[in-house]
Amino acid sequence: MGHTLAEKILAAKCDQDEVYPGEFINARVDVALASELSGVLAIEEFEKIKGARVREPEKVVFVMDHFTPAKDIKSAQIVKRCRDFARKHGIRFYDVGRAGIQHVLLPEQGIVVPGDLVAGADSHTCTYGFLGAFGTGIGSTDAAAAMALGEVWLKVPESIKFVYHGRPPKWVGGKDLILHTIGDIGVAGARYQAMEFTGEAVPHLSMASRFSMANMAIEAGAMAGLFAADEVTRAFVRQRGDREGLYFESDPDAEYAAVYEYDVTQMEPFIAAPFLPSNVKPVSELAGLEIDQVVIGMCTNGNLADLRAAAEVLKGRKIHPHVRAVIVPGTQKVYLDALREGLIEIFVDANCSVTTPTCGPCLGGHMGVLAEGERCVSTSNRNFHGRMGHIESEVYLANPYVAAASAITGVITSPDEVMN
Amino acid sequence: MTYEPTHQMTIGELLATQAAKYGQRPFLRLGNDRITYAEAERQANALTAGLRRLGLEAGDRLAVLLPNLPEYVLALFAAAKVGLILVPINVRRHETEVAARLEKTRPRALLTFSDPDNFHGVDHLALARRLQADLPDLERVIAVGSAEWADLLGSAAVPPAPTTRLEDTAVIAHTLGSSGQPRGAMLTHGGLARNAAAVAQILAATPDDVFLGAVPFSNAFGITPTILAGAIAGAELVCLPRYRPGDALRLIREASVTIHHGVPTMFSLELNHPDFDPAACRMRTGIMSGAPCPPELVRRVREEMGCQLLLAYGLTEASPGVTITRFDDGPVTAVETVGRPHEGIELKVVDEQGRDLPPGAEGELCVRGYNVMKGYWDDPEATAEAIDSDGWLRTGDLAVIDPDGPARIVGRKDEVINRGGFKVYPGPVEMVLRSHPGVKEAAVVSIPDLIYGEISCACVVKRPSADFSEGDLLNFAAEHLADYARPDRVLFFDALPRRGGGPVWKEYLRERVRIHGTAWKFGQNIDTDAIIPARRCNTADPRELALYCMEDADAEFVNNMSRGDLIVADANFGCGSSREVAPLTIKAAGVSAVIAKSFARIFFRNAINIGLPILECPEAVDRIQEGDRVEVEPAAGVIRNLTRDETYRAQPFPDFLQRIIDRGGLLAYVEDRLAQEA
Repeated sequence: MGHTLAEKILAAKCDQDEVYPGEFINARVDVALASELSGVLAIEEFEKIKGARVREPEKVVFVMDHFTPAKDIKSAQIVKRCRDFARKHGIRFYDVGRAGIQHVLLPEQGIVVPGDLVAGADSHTCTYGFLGAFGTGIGSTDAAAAMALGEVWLKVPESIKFVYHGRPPKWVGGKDLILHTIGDIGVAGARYQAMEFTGEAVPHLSMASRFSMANMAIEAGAMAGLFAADEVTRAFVRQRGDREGLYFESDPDAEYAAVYEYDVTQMEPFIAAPFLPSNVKPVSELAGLEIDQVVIGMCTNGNLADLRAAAEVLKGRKIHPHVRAVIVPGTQKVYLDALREGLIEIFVDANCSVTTPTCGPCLGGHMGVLAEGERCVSTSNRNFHGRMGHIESEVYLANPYVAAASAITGVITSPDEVMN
Repeated sequence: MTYEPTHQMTIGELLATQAAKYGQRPFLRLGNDRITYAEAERQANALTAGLRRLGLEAGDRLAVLLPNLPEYVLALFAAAKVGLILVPINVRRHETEVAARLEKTRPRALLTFSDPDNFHGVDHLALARRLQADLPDLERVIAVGSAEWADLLGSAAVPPAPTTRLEDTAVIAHTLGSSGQPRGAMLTHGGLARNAAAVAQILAATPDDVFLGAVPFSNAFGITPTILAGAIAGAELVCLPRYRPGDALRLIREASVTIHHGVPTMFSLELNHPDFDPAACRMRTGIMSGAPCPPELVRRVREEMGCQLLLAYGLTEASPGVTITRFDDGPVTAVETVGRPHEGIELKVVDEQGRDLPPGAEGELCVRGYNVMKGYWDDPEATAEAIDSDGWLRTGDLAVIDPDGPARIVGRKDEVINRGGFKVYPGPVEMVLRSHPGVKEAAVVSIPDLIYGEISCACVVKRPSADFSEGDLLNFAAEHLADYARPDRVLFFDALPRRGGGPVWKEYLRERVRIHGTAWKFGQNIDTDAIIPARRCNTADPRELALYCMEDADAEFVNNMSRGDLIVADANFGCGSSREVAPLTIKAAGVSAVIAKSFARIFFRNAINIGLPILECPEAVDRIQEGDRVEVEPAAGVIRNLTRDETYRAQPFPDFLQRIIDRGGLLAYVEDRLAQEA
């Protein structure tokens, strides 16, 4: 029997010829990851382990991204704790001004490459599947154990195959494909499984589009969301570091728990309405709904290509007087590239606020928290009750084109309407 | 009558002396067969010669896997005469337990028997021969009654004068360490004989007494106050190979037993037996020991059996007698304490740090004296832990020594349940539960709890015709116990696990209880991220967090969380959070395991990582109904529905996952791994 991409990566990480879905394994971790929020909990757990030291400091990465620059004394204390721990143990540490949002940062720095196993104390660690790495979210206790042992225990997931046919039309990107998919299968549709994204649409998807898709695999309950690394991936990786990585692909006779096929040619941009990422509707269905805020960027759509998309719509326009728009580049490098390309100027001209890279608004932490009754179009990945602020606020998940177009009109709007 | 000279005798010399003194008086009786002191001495000497002929020499170990038979007694004396160290093993031990004891003590010969019909179908001779294959030191396995046995006794050679000294080890009696591994306490000739003489003296035993051999001869309670004290008194010992209350009552009646030692359960079974007839009971005295003795039971034995029952405290490592009540004790001391120490034995009570405590204070009981073992066989580390440099043996029992002398045992140090700062002693709670008319047996153990640290769980066996509910028993407990001491949970069992017929095996029970509960069918997914609720409600209290963390579906969850539940989830079950809040909350609520059709990804990990067993088994979810009693064995992937008498199979946990669960979480497992590597 053949094996899926997920099975092949995991087999390589536990030195077995093959692994099967349902099997429990102890796998070697290539990168163990934490933010300040999960990191500080992992440190607490780690320090409870008698005789523990960080086994491979070069494989442990702490990225300060959730409440940074420190939004209050508490977050300052938390970051300091992480900083002190990182210095003491010699682990990789990314602080304000040198960092960005962890999932955008690590591939950009060449820290994660195809074929890696990334265990991150952040649920969106599944993002690394966009370049053919197996990334999965773990708990803080897991993270402590991973630091001490360099291993993580896993149950090998079944895989589900998603086949995307055709070439996506204008305004439709990876974000729309994944929203459509989650809308179809539901928030538990890929529970404890690996989503494998395939089909002739894939070569047409930019790395940023693939990023958005893998990033939201967790919103369907998946353990990982994977693309087989291809030439587009290889080009991306080579520009960023020395590590080559391992290029796996699924066998033709690999077994899948399910196969879903979608025609992307007729798709229009989608929006996930409150309060679940699976509550997905075409943008046309929600058009005209008044909004108060737009947030563009963060991890799901925080790459340069995403900012370019937003800038394409915002260029030469002003956002609606009743609307606030916050642009959050994924990393310092994305910020700088956007600056050099003139994108930041476009945003500022349009009356958008541009912030330092941070997860802040997405989880209602800081830099754009919503008040009671406010409605926000966001390019982030979650729209649960109170996710971005007050429990009575609403979040609509969309791609950067839709978010930018809606910022201009003050109501949910298809980019077509603004651009034509 | 005093027995002072026996203090200066080895066990081998003891029998010779008694044979000279009481020659034609009966010593051992089995059924209608009787052996006199002289005959016992002759047979023991023949066996001594036979054992020598096998090549056994002083210091070699002789294992005995025998029930309470006269041959056991002969082997005890013969071994002593050669200077062999006797290694008695209880016949009710499992094969692996027998193997562990033999591997550790490496005997050269083993005496056993074969009577599967009367011993639960176990053929001990076959068992011993199987084990012999892997025990290179074990040269001979001989069954009593066989041709080899007859051959062994066939020699009439008179043994040379013994060279054995009082301080030599006579017996290695096994006891269990805190983690359940066997430890062999090396008990000396001098220690056993003097302790037995002290008991005989206090019982005022004479050649007119008849001892009932009910407690297993393989343990120190059977050896010292029963076999040896009986011999010192010149009394008769009636052997009861397999204890059944009806048989014990028959012997008490027919053999006119005057002295009967036993654990509380034995007396309780006898008093409640339909054949019990106070008029036919000629019992004069006896010792109740080996477990906490309920005052109510002690009073009943004294009244209904018409005897001056004594209470004693001892432990294998102390040969075993430490304290005992006396005939002239007042009613409170006689019924509610374990008496004062034997002569020549010192007691003290110490705190957690080992500092001496004044009389009246509660602490760990320590013992010093002639009776303390030499140490654990081949285990200097455990010996050093047990006996300090001044010779004090730490008993692990918590006691109060009353200012006027008698001691009270309040519990086992490692069994005390710390319920949110309140100490709950299982002993008194068990006594209260046992006093309920419908309760046959009760044991109280702790369950880890995130709110209280530990909570208590009563494991109860009902009497056959009893009909009462958990609530009835809790109401009953509430009348007799402080609120914090009332059991938090009650679980009913068919029988309580015991090892080798000894006290309730609490380690095993704790393990069972942890993953045993009433099924609660909960259908919905528990989801959303904990970060936001944690911030919103600004609390670290898991229950409060749960209200926010598990919104929507989860208000139902929180409102229904009740202790003792075992969650059976209709569909997906889990929480998307990377924090352990959700499983911690569930565990804190007393949930002992989760069974679901499937799991959310991180919830599954986090549950395992905090030691909450979680199994995926659609069949179990379909079959189990709300309120069913369910038991889970994660390692085997077995889910038992006790209500419906059905078993379902989930994916078994591999070793490492089971170890994580057993160790209570991932961190302890990591520690073990690091320690191994080091």
